[in-house]
Amino acid sequence: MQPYEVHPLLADALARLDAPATVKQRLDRNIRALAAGQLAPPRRRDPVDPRCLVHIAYFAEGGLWHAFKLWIDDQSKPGVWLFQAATYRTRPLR
Amino acid sequence: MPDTPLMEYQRRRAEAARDAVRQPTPEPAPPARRYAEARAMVREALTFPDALETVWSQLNADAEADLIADFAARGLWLRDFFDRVIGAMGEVLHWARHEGETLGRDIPRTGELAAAVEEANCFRDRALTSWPDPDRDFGDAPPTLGTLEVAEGAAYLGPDAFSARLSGG
Repeated sequence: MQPYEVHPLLADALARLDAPATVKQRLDRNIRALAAGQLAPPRRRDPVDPRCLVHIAYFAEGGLWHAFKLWIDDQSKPGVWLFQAATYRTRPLR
Repeated sequence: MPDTPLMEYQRRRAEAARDAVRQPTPEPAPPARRYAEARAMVREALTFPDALETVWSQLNADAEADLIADFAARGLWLRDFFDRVIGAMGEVLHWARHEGETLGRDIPRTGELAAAVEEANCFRDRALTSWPDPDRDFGDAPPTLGTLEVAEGAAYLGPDAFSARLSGG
């Protein structure tokens, strides 16, 4: 498992986010699975900030798609994924 | 994730119908039998939209259960599946119309099958538009939560502290 840490501003923002608690729990599990190597590692590097890899997580729930785009700094602290920032989107499932 | 038995079955039966109508008609083939076969194949192809609905519902259920690890790959699979099934419907329709012209008789329900192909194409477009696509959902949008600034000595949260923060609000 590759260690990971979450920036306090991102952690607070996600905690306050107006999204179902179950979706936040699924995001939590998704990040753990990513760190555990159970998900393919992010392939995209953010063109605006090349320090950052981008991980996209989708969850279908309550008739909606919940999507998180997470920016991971993988260079400031070698060997540790630092979850820095995110964007949240939601839209109808179909 | 490998295809489930249901997905594999639906894909194979559409491909079987497509392969069947590509075969030359064996001689001698009595007109009454050719007519009956064309009628039966049209009736079979009219069940294919159910396969599209079934597989689409299955994928949505998988998404809700966190069983899809790679949405991009599943989206490509879904596009290929729709194209194969709708393509098979189109080939059966084309073949049945040709048989009808050759035999000088209308094959029942070909109009219904043509409408089903159109409807299936609309369903395909809606389904693929609805499927996750990071480029469409996010584009080049900047982050709105957290920060890209890496502060020296910032008190980053480890996994357990982060989980506690998320669940505690």
